[in-house]
Amino acid sequence: MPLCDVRGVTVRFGGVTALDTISMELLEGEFVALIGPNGAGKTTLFNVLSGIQRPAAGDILYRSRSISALDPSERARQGIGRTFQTPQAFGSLTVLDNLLLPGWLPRFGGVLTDLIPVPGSGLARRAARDRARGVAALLGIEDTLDRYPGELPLGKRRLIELARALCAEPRLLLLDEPASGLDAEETGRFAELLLRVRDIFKLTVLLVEHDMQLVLGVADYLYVLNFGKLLAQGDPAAVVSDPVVVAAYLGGDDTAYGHARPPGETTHQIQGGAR
Amino acid sequence: MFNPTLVLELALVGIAFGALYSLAALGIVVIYKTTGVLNFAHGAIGMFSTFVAYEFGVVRGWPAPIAVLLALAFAAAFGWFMERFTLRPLRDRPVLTRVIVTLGWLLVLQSVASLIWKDTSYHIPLQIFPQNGIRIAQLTLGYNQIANIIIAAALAVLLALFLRFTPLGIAMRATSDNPTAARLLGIQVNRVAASSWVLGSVTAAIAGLLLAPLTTLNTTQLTVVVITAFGAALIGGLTNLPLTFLGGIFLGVSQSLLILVIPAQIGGAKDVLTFVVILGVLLLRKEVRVLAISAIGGETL
Amino acid sequence: MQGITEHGSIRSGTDLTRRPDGGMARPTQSGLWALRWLLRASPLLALLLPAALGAYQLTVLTVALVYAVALTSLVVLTGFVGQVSLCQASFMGLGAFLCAALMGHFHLSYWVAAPITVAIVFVAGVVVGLPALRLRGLTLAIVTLSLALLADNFLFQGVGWLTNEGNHWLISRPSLLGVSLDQPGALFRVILIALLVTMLAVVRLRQGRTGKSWYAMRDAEIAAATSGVNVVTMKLLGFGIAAAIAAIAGVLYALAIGSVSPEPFNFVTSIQLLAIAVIAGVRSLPGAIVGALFFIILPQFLLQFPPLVPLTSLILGAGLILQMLFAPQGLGGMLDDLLRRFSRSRGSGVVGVSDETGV
Repeated sequence: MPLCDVRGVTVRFGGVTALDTISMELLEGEFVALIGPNGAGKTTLFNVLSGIQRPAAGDILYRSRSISALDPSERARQGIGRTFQTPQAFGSLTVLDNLLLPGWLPRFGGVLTDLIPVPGSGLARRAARDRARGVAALLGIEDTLDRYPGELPLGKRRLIELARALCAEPRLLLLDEPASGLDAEETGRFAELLLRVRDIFKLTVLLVEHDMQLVLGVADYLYVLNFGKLLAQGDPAAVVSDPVVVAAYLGGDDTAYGHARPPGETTHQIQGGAR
Repeated sequence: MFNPTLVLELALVGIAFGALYSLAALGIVVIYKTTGVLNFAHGAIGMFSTFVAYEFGVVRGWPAPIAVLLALAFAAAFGWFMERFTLRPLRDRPVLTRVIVTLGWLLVLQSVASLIWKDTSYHIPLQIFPQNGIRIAQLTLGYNQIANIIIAAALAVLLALFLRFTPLGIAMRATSDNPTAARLLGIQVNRVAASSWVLGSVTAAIAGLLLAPLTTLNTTQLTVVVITAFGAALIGGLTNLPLTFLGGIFLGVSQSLLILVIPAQIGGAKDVLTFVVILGVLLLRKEVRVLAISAIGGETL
Repeated sequence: MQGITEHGSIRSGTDLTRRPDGGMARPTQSGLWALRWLLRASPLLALLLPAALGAYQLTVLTVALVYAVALTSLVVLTGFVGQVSLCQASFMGLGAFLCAALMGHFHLSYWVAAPITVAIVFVAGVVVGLPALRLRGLTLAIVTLSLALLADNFLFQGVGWLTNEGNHWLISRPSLLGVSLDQPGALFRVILIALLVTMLAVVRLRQGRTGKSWYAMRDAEIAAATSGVNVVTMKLLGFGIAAAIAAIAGVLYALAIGSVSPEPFNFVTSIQLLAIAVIAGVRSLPGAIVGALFFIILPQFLLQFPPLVPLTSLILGAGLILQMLFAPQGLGGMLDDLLRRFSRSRGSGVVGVSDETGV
């Protein structure tokens, strides 16, 4: 039983089909990577999963129930967390508050408990703060907690965003190019960190990434997206050496994207992706 | 009860008002398209210019054409000043910052007008056209109304021709379509912005000068015309000039016909209507715009 | 999703705290300690001022406190939630008229009518917030200004039930704990307490989840949503709470003046209130108090030569323009710095971050 089951999701922008009947399964505890050239629809798929983009067709099952009708905040509460390609920190909150907020949100607004302190409300805040401190320590950003995101370099802001997503206690974590801008050595350490985070928080991860070193280092399973269609899926090592994928994406020159494999063919299932 | 002559007469009055709303709205659209700023002081500029004409034409008794020219000159100079010294320096700031500047100008213009001309209403401040009119069958057409409709329509056509055929007009259209490309092509964006502010302010002044004899002249009445003009501009999606013009006419006519439905002693029915139209257009704007543009064959500035 | 604007739609730019360089203004703990300072001083103020001032000055000061409450509503809506409103005076007017109408038609006591009014206006604020879910920035400014005109000409002129058929309402001031509020001193104390309670509530909201959710939403709406902030609820709540605070100002106004007529609540007042809030710092509560004092006291001086009364509006308009051009950090920021330095030199040890209002 997959944790998240994407069934035939289609998204159109005007006349452009950004996602064309995409189906994929994310198994509990699995580290899944999603690659594809720019404009392939990776971020659109993330937006569909986190509820920002409504699909024209298709359904998403999460823990065996359809979440298509849920808004982004409700999905977040149910354990779907994400980061953004361009970090979206809350600039007027301290880093600590950035991390504190997701784990501290009450179910209904919280206006009354904000106004009138009720017994136990301090506890929730302290628990959220402890969690935020713990996550920050794990990611090595505990020294930034009292600063504001705008004062920090991009790399730190990416980590803050990862930390914020973790503080919401996700089960499924969507990471949108978290390693862009890192050099080879940093990427290696980041890969280790991601694996450790996955184990500690018992996460299922869907990772969009261009850096193949990182993808091959962490992914258990790989999907390739091209022009809104699934081009291939399977064991990462097998997929990246598949000639179709190589021609369309990895090895081919930039102009070959569309021509090597015209959109419209069925997904290329590559053997070896043992699940 | 239902009197066709009355309905027609009211509709004509409405068209006369609406044409002036349209004129004011065209100025708003031109400014918005080239600079991205919604000018909340648009009505206030019209109000102040009209007071300038009143001051010279009525209080000092100068000939009406000169008073009108002075008013237009004031509007042009003010529009230029406003753009050059209070908006151009803020060009790279959020749109809302610049819009707040126009709100500041609204307060300034209104308070200065109150300081000079007091919070009094002046009736028939400056008579440009004769009060009487002509009768066709049972309809009475005031010269005022005829003149308003003709002037507004003529100016709208002139504006369209200007944007289409003059180098400056073409530069303005290019800037509104793609500011960056326009700049790269060597179009002087500053000159274009200044021109649209001058042009827009003059339309506000003309609308004010023609509206004042139909209503009264005070510091509030013309200032709030900006909201009706926004309504018309929004009907045109803030971009489409012909649709904006029709939007103004629609608002004028429907406001005028309201009296058939709602007793006159209930004040503010017009404002309720304007609010409903604005909200409706904004909430349904995609649907409405697509519909309307396909109906008249889209032209965007 | 609202954050993603379609092509050709009106660009958003609601954020009055974004600096010209695109960075975020430093946020604020500010009002807090300044408020603490005020709170400490308030018993003294409440005792001394009624004794020291004449009835007339005291009334002027009382009205200024009422407008400080009105400005607090803009601190919430514009400063915290990041939405522009050009109809905040209309909500205040609705509060005043509704309270008077409830008292007049149903013979309710002021203490019953006022809370009912605030609750109703809260709902009205939520309803006005509904279109704001789809609109932002410029378009919201148009809608709220249009609403202000509707209130001016329809609600406060055309609706007889609300306006006592176009005659002004007279409010008979109630008594509290056996003290008649017809006494200027008692009235001043009651309204001072109301202001402090309102501001303290706002500070608590800002420190709590509500305020942090608002800030998060305003900084990065989509990220806030995917972090679990219910954007729809929080935005509507913001509009509702801001409207309710404006209504509190309205019912206090009715109490302070003793009569309700439409003029003080017209659209120009709404624009002026926004101008004061922006000049004083959209997030600054001390700024709201100082702004209100300016807004009410200056015209009283100008009244000695009545033709000069519009000067207040001129100063506000010019101040707004000049501030945008030359002082993006806002007077509120300077004021907060000043107060903080003062409070530090007194050794209170409260450290706050300046409240910049880089518009």
